[in-house]
Amino acid sequence: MVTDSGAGRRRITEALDLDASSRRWVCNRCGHDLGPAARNYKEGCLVYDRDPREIHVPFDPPTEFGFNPHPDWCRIVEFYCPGCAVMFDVEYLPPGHPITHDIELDLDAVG
Amino acid sequence: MTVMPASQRALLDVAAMGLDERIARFGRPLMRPGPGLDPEVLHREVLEAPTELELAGADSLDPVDLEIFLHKLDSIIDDGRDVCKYLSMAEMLQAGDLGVGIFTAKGDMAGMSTGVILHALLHYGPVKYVLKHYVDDPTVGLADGDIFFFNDPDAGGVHTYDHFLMMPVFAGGELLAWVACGGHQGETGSRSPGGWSPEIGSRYEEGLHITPLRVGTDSRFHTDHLEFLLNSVRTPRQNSLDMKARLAVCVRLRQQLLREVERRGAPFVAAGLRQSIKTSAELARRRISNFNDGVYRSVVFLDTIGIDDGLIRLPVELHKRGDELIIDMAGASPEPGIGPFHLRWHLARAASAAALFPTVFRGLRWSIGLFDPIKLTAPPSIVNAPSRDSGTGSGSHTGRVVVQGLLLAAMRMLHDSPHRTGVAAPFAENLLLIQFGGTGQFGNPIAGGPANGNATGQGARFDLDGEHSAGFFWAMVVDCPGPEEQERKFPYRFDQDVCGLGRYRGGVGLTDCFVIHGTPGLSSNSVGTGSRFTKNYGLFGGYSGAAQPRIVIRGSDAKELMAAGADDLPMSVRELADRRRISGEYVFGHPNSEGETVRDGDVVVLARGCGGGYGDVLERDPEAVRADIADGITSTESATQLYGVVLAPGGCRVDVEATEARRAEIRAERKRLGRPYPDFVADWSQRRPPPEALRHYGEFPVPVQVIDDREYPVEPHSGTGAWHR
Ligand SMILES: [Zn+2]
Repeated sequence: MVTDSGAGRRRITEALDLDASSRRWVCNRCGHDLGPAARNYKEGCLVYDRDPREIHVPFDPPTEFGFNPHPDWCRIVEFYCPGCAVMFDVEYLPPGHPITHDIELDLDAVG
Repeated sequence: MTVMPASQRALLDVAAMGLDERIARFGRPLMRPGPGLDPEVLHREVLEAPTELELAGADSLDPVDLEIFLHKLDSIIDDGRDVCKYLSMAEMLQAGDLGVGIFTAKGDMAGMSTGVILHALLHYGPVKYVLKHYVDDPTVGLADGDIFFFNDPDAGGVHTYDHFLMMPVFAGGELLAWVACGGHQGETGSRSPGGWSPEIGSRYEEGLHITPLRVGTDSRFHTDHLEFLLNSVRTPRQNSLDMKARLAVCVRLRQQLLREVERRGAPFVAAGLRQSIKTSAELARRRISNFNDGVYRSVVFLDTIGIDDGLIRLPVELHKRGDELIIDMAGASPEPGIGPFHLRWHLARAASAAALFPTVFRGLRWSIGLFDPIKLTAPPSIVNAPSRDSGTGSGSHTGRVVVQGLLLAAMRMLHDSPHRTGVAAPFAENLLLIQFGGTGQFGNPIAGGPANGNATGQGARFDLDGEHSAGFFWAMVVDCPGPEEQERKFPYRFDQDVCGLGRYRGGVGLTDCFVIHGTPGLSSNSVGTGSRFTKNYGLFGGYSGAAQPRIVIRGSDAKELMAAGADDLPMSVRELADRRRISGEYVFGHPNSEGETVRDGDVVVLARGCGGGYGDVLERDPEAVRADIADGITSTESATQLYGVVLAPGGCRVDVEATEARRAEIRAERKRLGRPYPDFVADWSQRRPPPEALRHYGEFPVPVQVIDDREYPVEPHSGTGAWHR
């Protein structure tokens, strides 16, 4: 509905475009192809499992409970563009929990 | 071939069902009926069949007159909200944690003012219960001037700690409408002072459970009923004043509505209330049509059930089909059966409004009509708990996590639409509430807690940082008592490296640090979530806000330090925990505790959550990072490590070249560390959290939900039994 990426592309999230004609996910920043839009765009990303303490700085000295999530309970899964390394999404998940297929558009309706 | 034994033939796997079957089976409260509790009234269609009065007025509705009337109606309701706030004594009511609503004669909410969106959205339950079960009962009946009290969450309250009054409005002897008012009272005679008992085993420890009870006639309380209610709580004076405040609001709403009847006639008013709901419904459907069809998913996690810690899975699948939204919560963790974190269907649905009304339905007039295009389905689980005995005192906490999940899903729908201005990371949700019980400074009994909990950090927006100490996830219009006034006198310092990072960062929440003074001891209990698993989610690559510890310093020397004029006391939680200038025994715990005593000189830290970030950290304007460092929000280490921003020596300006080099380095590192999806999943899927994290989770990773067809048939239970006949 809001086409601000030009060239028939729809800006589905901050850095993720849908090329409506080819029905493929495309990086909004560098144009890198991220695979068919019928599938999860995350399958076209580079993925990294980050220890939450690297982002959420623990107290010094560390305590059992602090500003950081517990690294055995909670991991940060990061999704990068293989072209320009922009981070499309992060998921906070228990280790081993399936990756979320967060956007599944009805491609016939979206047009 | 195996033949399934007859006893098992009725078992059905929820995951194998289609969406429409799940809606048919689980799109309603699965809780059992009880005396005064009828799940059927809680899942009525949005708009009941019209009354004769509504039909009679339908033709007289000139659009301009109607618009003027609705404007008047909203002013009346807003006025009711303010009166409730100013007359009430309980801290949370003063903070605006309340709702005021006007309903059609049959109990459909035509207008509301909050506070907390939940409250006014749930009152249809008790109204419809009275209409269905009491009006024709000669021992109860219904008359002009009647006053009904209720607080039972299963009757249509939120948790027992929220207290409500409602009154019918008659015009010319005919039932015209209902008015209702109420909110978070706190003290309800539950196990711990002020409510919020995290360690309960069942609902019977959560204080009074009042289903709709006529506590007054002719607009006056019955003394015997009032004294019964007040005798059941620790703070009779406060509760008494707040009962009267609610009555004042109901009487005032009723008077003002009747003035409109004098001016416009009862048929016009009745039809106008009805039309306002129909208009909201129509506009809501038109709004939804603007979004891309599809399925939007998120999965969020609770890390406690109060009495015990453990992960609870709360998935949200938002289906957008034409002009309808379907919220499917299949795959949630099972009903734990102990602790207060159970959610009922009607509360889950009302909770969804806190996510949808201010974002998806931004700008539309709030009434029950906005629910017309929304369906919510949840199989028996912690979010549609069936057991009668389950405690629901912190069901609102579970509801809040549902709000987070729904927001995350809805934002994925909103971004590519004409309504992108509604795109934001959710408000901070990790909340820590502390209640104190004992004797106050005037010898009065106290049971309750500070309401500054409403001053949490806002999530970052698609084009702006989140505001600090901005408000409350339940309602973006709620007040927190006085942070701005306080800040005028005592400028705040912000905690460091706690807000969600991103292209735009989340806001920092308010922190209070209490020193217990002038009392030998207070009993305290606290309830909260988010200590091991933060739920202050960011959006589109933004990181979450920090996790939430509970910190107490026992036997501290804080008072001595202050008396000696120490000028180096900690100014933030991080400073307090890292530098330990105050001596004493430091306790860093998870948020839930019950029956602890805090004594003179103890320090209790009450930190609120910080909002999540939006977008990639490496895209944050380096100048904004420099400003964050100057404000103390971001450390120079985090700026370099995470934002990739390097300041020139002295810290007054950004070193542009060094920043570009550092960011290039981080991007290269991402490419080096990031693995192709199939490789990543191959390893990742072999991992699991430790066993103690999965005690209440159900099967990992996705709880299996198998139901007995005979227990949960497509047709729901038929109303209530004759409990006392
Ligand atoms: Zn790219």
